[in-house]
Amino acid sequence: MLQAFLVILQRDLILAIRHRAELMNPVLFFVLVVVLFPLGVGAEISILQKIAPGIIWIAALLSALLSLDRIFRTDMEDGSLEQMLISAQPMSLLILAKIIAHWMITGLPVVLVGPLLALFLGLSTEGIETLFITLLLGTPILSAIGSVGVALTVGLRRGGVILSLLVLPLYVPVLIFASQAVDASAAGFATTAPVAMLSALLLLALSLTPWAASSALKMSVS
Amino acid sequence: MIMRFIHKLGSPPYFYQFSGRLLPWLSGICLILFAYGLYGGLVLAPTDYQQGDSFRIIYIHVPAAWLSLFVYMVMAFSGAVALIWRIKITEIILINSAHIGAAFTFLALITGSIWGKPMWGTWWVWDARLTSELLLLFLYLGIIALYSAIDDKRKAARAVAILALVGVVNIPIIHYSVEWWSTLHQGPTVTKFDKPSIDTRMLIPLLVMAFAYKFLYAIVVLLRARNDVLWRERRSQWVTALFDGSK
Amino acid sequence: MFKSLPAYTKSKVLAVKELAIEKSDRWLFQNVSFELSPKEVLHLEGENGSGKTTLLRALCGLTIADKGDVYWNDVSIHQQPYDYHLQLSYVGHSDGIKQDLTVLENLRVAMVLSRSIYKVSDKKIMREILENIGLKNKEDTLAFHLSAGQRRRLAFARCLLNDSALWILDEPLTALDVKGVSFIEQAIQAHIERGGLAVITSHQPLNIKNVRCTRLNLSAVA
Repeated sequence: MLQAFLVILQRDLILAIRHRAELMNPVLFFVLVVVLFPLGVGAEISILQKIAPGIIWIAALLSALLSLDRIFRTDMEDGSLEQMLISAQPMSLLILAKIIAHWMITGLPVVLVGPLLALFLGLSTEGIETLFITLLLGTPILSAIGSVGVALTVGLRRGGVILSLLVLPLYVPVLIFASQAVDASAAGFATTAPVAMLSALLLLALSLTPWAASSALKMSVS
Repeated sequence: MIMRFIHKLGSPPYFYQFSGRLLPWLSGICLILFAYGLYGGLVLAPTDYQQGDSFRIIYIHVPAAWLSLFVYMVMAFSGAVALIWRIKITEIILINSAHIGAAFTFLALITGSIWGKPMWGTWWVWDARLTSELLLLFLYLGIIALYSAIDDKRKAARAVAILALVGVVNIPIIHYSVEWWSTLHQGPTVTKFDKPSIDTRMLIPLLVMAFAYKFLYAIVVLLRARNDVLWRERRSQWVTALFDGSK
Repeated sequence: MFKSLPAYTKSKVLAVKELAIEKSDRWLFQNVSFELSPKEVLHLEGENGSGKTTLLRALCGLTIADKGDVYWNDVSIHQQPYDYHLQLSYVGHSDGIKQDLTVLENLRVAMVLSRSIYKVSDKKIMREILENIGLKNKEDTLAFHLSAGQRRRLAFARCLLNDSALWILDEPLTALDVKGVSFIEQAIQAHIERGGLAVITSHQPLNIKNVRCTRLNLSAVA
């Protein structure tokens, strides 16, 4: 079973690396959205500083949303998904591997670039540290919840808009806890509560979403 | 016993017949409840010492908000039944509830915002309850959009059932997070519901209205479900017999 | 090349009882029943749109029937998914081959998914399998560069990885040249002689000797 997990993880990573051009898109999009904010709101550092956590987290949500489709789309099209569903391995485990692969491809770059952008928005050092932690805890949740949304819409010709309608409301708690944690630490308050909530959400998401996605995929291929 | 009844109810002709017999009773009770609730709420209940008569909108607003959550629970429950036993009727109840739930959520939002005008002086305040209600509306709209996007309706029902179950796990989390968020940001000090105590003359009509809304939901969902059953079974014998007999 | 392999140990009876599937409120087919014992082939026939592929997918457990059920060794396949999947190889319309993986990488994923009796690290076995499917010296070629016929053979290789007793093949002979057709026919022949079962849809006649081949015409059932 562990071998199946690792092989699928490796498979998805190899596939991502062989499409190097696409690999950069989500993180570029992330940077672009963040850069748009000073242009729209004005370059006054006190305002930017105040809304920096929100900006970065909303950009992270959008870039996750943009890249979600690839978790299952190509596998659906070439029949790999069917083979996984009738394989002698538990589907939820394979999905967990795919979620983690997706996070490593699209989430991890955001985790690394996010703090750098926060610097440009004038966030304090404490704020940046917390931002890094929340991104590290929060972005896997985005991939996990997203996998359910994609599993539900992957059979549709135009699933994109519906996907965002399904997934974004479910992202709200992550957005709230994460940006609040950064806000609090920038203001010099303790961040234990929201960070603990994020960790709980992460565990909950990783343990429940593979099941939901698996039954959604069974529906989608049927 | 109960399972056997559910399975029996799951057969479309029996459901059609049973719901047909149920509807007049439901309608009667619903009318009485509405009559009493509205009279009690709008006439009998004393005027609020702070808000004057404008508080009376709670008799529309609060039951709608309660119902919007209740309908989602019903959807999640029928979704679970639909997924486990694949009973067609529960699929039909599930999807027809979504439109009603969305409508009541919308009603709760509108009345909440109308109520907000005299209370806070603006049409919209990012109050925790209103914000959660708004997110609930999006959950409903997502369900409706997903259902209408999938052509095969049995498949669509299964998709929607899964989504409803995912949603029901998330609703408490969303609600809690929004509440937490608003305690950190909240400006306005007058919260609508946290009054120390509510006069029983105000409370009873409110509870009656809540029941009246639930009956209204039951009636509407049954009416819609009956239509849906007829349409889906339009090629089957019992539907043909039904309409030949009435001609 | 297939003669030397031992007989299957877990070959059982596949039974379909009163299967009916609905599509868009209309019965695609109803009352499909048959029993297939070891050493038998079922050749599914029927016009396009008569539900052949849907029936095959129902046999795999990918599509859930609206009435009736599929039984393997007298137990519903939905009650024993892993045991059943271990005995099942399915080659469908979409071949489940990843274009951007090499032949060997594709095989490796398939082997892990089917819990193959062979090991990927076993070079000798791998060479033998590749030689069998006519892809000798193509280990490191991307599947993208294979011809349609070669890709079909690679997909078909899934049947040879795990001693699975039940093969479900959807149009296995399309896109194959004469040599390819005879390769698949020989493989099926050897499979049946080892005590296997096969359910096949094919527009072309199957040339398999000394085998009980039942025909089922779905257009007639509907």
